[in-house]
Amino acid sequence: MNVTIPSLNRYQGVALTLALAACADRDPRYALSMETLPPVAAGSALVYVQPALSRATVVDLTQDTPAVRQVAVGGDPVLVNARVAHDEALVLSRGQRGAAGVAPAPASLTGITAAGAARRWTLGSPFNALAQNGDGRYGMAYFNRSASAGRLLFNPNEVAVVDLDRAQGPSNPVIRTVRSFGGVPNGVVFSPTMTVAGEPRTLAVVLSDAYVTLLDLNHPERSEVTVRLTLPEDPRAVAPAQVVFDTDNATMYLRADQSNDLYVLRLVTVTPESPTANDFRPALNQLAAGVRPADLALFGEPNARKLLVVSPGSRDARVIDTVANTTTVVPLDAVANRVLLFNGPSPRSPAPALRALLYATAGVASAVSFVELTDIESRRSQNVETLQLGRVINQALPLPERGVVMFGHPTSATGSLSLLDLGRRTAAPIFSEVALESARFDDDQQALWVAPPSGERLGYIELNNFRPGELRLDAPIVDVIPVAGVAGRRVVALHEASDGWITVVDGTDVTRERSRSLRGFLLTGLLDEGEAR
Amino acid sequence: MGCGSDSADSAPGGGQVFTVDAGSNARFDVGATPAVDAGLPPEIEEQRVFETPQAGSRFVYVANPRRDNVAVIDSRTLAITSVEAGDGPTYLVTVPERGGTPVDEALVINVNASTATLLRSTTAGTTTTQMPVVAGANAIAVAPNGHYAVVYLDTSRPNQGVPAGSFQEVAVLRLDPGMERGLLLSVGFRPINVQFSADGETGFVITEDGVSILRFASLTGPALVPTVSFYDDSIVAPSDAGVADAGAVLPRDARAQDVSVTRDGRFAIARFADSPAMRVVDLMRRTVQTINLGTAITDLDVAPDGTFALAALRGESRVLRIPIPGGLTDPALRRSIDLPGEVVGSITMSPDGARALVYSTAAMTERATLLDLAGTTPPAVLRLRKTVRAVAFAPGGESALIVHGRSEGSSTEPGIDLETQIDRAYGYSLLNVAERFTRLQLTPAEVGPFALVPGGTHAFVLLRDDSRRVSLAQRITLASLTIQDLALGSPPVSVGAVPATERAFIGQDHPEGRITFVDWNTGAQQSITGFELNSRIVE
Repeated sequence: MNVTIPSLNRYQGVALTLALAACADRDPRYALSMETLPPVAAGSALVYVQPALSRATVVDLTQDTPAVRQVAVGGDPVLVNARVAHDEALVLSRGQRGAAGVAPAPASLTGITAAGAARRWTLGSPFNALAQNGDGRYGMAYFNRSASAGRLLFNPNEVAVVDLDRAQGPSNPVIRTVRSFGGVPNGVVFSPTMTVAGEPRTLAVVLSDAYVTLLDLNHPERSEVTVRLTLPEDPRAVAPAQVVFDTDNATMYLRADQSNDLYVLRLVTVTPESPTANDFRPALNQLAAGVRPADLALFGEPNARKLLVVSPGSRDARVIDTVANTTTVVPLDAVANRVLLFNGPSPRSPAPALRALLYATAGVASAVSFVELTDIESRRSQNVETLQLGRVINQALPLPERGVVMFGHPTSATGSLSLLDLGRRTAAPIFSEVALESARFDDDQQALWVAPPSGERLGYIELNNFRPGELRLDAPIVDVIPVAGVAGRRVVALHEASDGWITVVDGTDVTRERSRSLRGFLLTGLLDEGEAR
Repeated sequence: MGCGSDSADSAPGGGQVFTVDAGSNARFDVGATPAVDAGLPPEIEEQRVFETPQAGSRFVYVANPRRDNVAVIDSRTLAITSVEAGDGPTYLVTVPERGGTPVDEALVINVNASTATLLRSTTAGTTTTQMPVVAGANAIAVAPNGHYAVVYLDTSRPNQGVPAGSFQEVAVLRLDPGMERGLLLSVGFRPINVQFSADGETGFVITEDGVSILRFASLTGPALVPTVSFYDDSIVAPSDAGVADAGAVLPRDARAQDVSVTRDGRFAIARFADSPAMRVVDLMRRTVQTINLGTAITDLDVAPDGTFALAALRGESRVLRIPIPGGLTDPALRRSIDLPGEVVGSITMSPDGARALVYSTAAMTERATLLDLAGTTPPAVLRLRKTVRAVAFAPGGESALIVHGRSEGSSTEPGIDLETQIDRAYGYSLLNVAERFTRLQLTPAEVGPFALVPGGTHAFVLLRDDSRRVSLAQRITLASLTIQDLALGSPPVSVGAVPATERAFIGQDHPEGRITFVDWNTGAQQSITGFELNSRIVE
């Protein structure tokens, strides 16, 4: 294994830190934490953010020898996300409140490319959550109720909508306060581009307790639309939990905790009454969906769209005709709380067709159900095939494009993982020492990578033949991140080290010889900055 | 039943609602029961209910007393608009037409404000007009042609509690656009029904005292409405040749039942519980006549065209056809239709008056007799296999729906024979009149409200049993008597027809309001839920 320690040929990272810490009257910067936010992949690069330093370190893995670059981000960065469908990382910073000798700085969002180029949008308020739409065009910063704002006063219903394709400008980002009925946003979901009132557009759906707010991102100057999900006297804590969009019919389906109904919002074209009024209005409908519906998926032709809903409370699946709003109940032998649609063959039919796998996580079922969606409303349970796995399912990692789903089970003599072949409807037990939450499919979905907590071995399973393998690295692994955009397949194993330590593994030739370790990159330029000062 | 000329009620928007007619609703048990009737209870009549969705030509209206608004649902787009009404909008009816043109208008009583709100809907929106009504009002009768409505307190119906004050007041509302106004008038004690002349220009308020006559064109201000009594001949001296009591003894407190007003507004006719007496009021001359038919009259219906009446004489197993006006004074003109062996308790006439079904809701008979009132076809006894609870004719009279009663016990009890299973099950029969063909349909729940679409091609029956989770509607194709089950998301409570879009609507019991629209030609369904939540969408 090759080991590279960039910029540390003069220093030994940890020792240096300790030595500096021992000095009297040292620059207070020497006491700053070296902790990082969980790193993310931005294309072919790995992006670390060090909040105490208000900087990001970009490890560009394009070349065999990684290049390390530092990029300044806004003060008090609180999260870093990969930008959806782009080779870029987004760093949300809350800015500085200001103190004696420290000027206040506004909150900001910084976009960082793999090449280290940065763009920044000033947000104003210290948001602590960020959501993106499906193509990475828009981002919305908002206040997550679980975190403190760190300000004397703040408005939890303020949001900032950023057009990530455009630079900062008078109308970008758009800062606004969404209407509240006493709640605060719990999350934001973006619609795919869908035609509303004859015009393609993207909607942001702000999810709050007992109501949702629709924002037209193509017309940010227009007022938001607030849709209550309960009547005022209704004490239920109906919390929106899932939104599924029907782009062909300008409709969204919303599932909420504590509600046995699905909420349907059909966006009806209206004539706006003013320039700031919307040209659509949601028509709300509710669909009975069994007891405690837990997941839903949309299928069928645009003019005959149907919903497949699993309701563990009533131990059934329901097919809802969204045109007629009629419901067909499909009893299940195995309780399910997840729906996975996949296009593939079945043991009886080699022709690919849209089918569904229904399963339950959280250890409530040891069997899964395959559902033939063709004629499901007339054939009902005749279209259901139950497959016993023999062990309850704790977690699932679906990869329908490859025709497999990996299930995690409680550790037992028969293994803690199983790989389900959706076409053959067989389940192969895999012995593993790791839990499924640390498993990652690589970017081209050829293999599944797992790393045992605090273990030194990186495991993988080739998905074309379910052949497992492992690679011993030089240090315990804390996470695995597949990296895209580079020649071949690469997987980065993260090691515990305050100065930054990774091992880049060649996914096509998983050997120590082809792996490269990189350490100390988080210290790059640190002392230079200090000296310059 | 005192339906007279409105024996097939016009459903809002021009649709026809099957009229439930199961004879009379006897309130008093006075006088001796004829020996032939010994042991048989009075015939039972069912009533329509309010507070359910009502349809105009295109729009459906749902009153929401809790929110002081009315949800207006476009049956074409299913768009819902919430329109503010008055305080506590509760009792709502639609105005089917005005001058022969279908309209989308609804009239709703705001129970907390003693007002009524008139709603007019177009695709551009809904406008409202407020008018005063009597305190505690819970009933609305809209006159043919849609120019007038009468709003009153019917103490026999559910109400918000009997208000202090008078039980002798009605409101006459002028509904013509731009001329809306309400006028409060004093009438007889406790109005129980309002009927109209065919031209809609005269209303007849049936009260415990008699018939109060509302000649709308002459009502220009508060006035005392002339009332013709059924009871006290000393108040209105008989001036015609009739016999005051005709030998029939009527208690002083006997109350008229099955009061019908002839289509021309000339006569009001009534019977009395357990009495052979039929009283005829000449509303023009304001005279009263008593006719003794010799045995207790258990039902009395006036033909829709007002040319004759049918009296059920259960004690003699016969129906008496009484031409109007000739048969009122000349017994020789009356024609007896003898049905030996049949229990002739109730009569339901077809809306065209050409046919009638004779049956009993009191006796456990599983038969009905079909009478040809227009031709010479002899009566035909129909074997129904279950007892009769109610009968409804389609408007054209070519088919009928017969709701059955059931005997105690579970129809699924192991070991019982088929006959017992049938007797214990809920169900109804469909009758093809021309073929004398009946189809028995057992149902998983009690037969609830039902409606017929305009044109009479299809009917809808609601079935609900919450304990067994039955929430079902049945779409009946009357030409073939075939039945399609329509599963509903929640228990059905009301059904009606929307003519403009050829859809039936099924109102359902759901906390936020739910309606399913059914294309009556195809059976295709669309449901909308959450009227209230829709009304609370904020932009």
